[in-house]
Amino acid sequence: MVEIILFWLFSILGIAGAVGLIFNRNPIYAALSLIINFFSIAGLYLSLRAEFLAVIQILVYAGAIMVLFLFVIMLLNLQTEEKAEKFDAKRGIAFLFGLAFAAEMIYALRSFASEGQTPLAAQFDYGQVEPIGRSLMTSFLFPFEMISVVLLAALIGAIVVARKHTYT
Amino acid sequence: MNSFPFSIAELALSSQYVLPLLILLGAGLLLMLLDAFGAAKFLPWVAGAAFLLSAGVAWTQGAPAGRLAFFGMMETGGIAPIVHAFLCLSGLLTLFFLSDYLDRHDRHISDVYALLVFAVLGMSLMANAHDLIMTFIGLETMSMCLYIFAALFKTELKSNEAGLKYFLLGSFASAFLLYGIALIYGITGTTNFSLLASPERIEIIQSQQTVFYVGAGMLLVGLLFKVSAFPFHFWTPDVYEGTPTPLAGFMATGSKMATFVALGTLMHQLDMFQNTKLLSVVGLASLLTMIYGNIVASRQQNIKRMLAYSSIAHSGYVLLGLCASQSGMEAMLFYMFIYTLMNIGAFGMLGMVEHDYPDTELENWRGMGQKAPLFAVAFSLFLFSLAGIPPLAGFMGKYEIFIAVIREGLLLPAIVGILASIVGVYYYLRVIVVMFFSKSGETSALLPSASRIPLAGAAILVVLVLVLGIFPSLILNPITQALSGLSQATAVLP
Amino acid sequence: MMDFFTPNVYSYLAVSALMFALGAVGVMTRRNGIVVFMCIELMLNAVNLALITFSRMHNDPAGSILVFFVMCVAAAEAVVGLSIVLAIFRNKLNIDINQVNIFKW
Repeated sequence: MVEIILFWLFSILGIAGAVGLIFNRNPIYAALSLIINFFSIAGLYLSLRAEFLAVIQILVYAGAIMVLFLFVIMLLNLQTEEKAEKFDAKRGIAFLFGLAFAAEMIYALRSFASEGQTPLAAQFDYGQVEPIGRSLMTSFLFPFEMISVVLLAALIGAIVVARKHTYT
Repeated sequence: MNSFPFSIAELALSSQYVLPLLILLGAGLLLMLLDAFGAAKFLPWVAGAAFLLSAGVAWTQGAPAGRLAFFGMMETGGIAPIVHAFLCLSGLLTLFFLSDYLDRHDRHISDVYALLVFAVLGMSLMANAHDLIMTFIGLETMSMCLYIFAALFKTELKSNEAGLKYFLLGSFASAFLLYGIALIYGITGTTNFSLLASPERIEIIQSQQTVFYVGAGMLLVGLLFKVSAFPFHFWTPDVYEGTPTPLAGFMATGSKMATFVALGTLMHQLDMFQNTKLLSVVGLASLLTMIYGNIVASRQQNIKRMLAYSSIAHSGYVLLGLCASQSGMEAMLFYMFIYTLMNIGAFGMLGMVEHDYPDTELENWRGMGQKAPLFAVAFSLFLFSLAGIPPLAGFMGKYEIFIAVIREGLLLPAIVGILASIVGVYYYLRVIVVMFFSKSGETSALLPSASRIPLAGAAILVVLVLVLGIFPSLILNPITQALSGLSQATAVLP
Repeated sequence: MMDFFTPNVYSYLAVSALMFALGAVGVMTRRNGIVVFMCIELMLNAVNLALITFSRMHNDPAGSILVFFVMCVAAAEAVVGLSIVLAIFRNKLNIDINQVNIFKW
């Protein structure tokens, strides 16, 4: 019963957040909708018993990344996007593409329906800290070390690009 | 639950296998430190030494394919050392032109050397990955550096737009790539290439054909975007135009080589794409890419944009080569090596003339043949080589590709490719005609930089392009040797 | 009746596919660079949801690890992307990222 409530609550909330993101013309509201979406995804992770990643999702996405977004939006004082013209072929094509894509995925993935229901059973330990930590330090040691290069490169890049104009 | 044995000895051995990568990593950190302590003028030399050292170590480390490091994450045998050496070479050649270019534009951005080293590291990670997770991380490391390169000249709007465009479209494409990885993981429960190629996984894949097609297709979208193949090419000219010219040459060669190797590994070593319709999708994309790139390039009035479109066309040839099996992989690597030489040469020499944006307009290059004859001859040599005119290296590259394709029985695509490359000759020749056979206008006072380092780089490249055109076996033999041990040793895991 | 409401693997995947499609539509329709980037973040999150569902299905941590890596990459991308936006802002003081032509089609 609990999983039914969790799943429907968070998936409806999450999709509502996604819809809010793509339809809100005000960037701040769009960002806030995205935060709702991120929280609901964390909820869905919980209902899948991925507790560790649920916490990380809230800390990293909702806590750090979205704050950065909001900060930049407010810093730039972005205006509301102007309303699109009544008929825009591009928008139409984009929506058709999205619809086709979603329909295709939902059709293609139906073979997973036979995988059975997902009760919150305790035998699923894949998402706890211990198995994740163990894998990070054994089989995924090398990618774990290399991901730090991505972060380092991004750090240097941000300094190069966003620093005030000083070419010394 | 993973039950991999964990031992210090194994880690030490793995670290030894990936030593060339660790050298690059250490060099990147060293470059940042040197920069912080005010030794900025040594940075290009340190970076160059690191590339040479890393390539040298990799070259001497040759081993039969299937020598995996770090629990099956990285391939360090087979073609991996050669690919790594080639990627280091593309970084090294870029260095020749880069510092002079930055100096002439009064932008002494010393962090760019560390980023260049990290970009090569990412490319090598991606090309030699033995696990989809590693492919993704390598791709992101590489892309992160390339996004910065595109946006490097932050006071110029063109560069800003190039950065934003490349960044947004690049992350859009990597979202697709990631979804593809997720679906393949969903079907098989693994991301490791050895495990994916195992018979029981192949059986599972065959029972879940639809999802597999969708997943592999999305993976393909992500990779085709990076090599600017036809439906995903539209970012290329704008991004290359806004990127500092030597770095645009690096983008067009190194990142494409890494992506092609990753794609080739997925397609051939894994048998993932064998007996599926995806191979014909790649073939179709390659034909459209060649035709589109060549036709649009012939209508450009700006040399930099023309080279960008020509790089789209060249991606088409290489993709066609990938459709031919084992010999295609060989032709692909050889072609990408030659392409690295001539394209970095062409972009680098273009950058030597450039002071301001309109300097790359074809109009302003009138009479270059009279003002700077040696320079113009060298530049024409690269263009001839790109056009595939014998006896230059570019011809040998194209020859290998088309022979491999014809041997595979794909006669019609090969004919289309040859016709498209004949169209290509036109626009390369046009630049040469403008340089030598049209009167110099009063308006243009363009003269190439007289700095010694880029000239030395250009000279080395000219020699290489000439020599490899006559003795292609110098590079072809090591590639063949490395590839020959590839097919029998795919399914071993420590 | 209850069976229909009980979530299975497929329901999670469907939610994830829907979110991914919504994100893709947002990327193609929105003109503000920052909002486009937020839509890309949404797509990455949709993929993460699918990955965790698969990870749960196989009861194997590899998928969760990939999610962990994707989060790192997303953080790095956010830093790079926003710094590029900031550079544009500095350059064209009266910011209008809507004018940056991203999709010319």
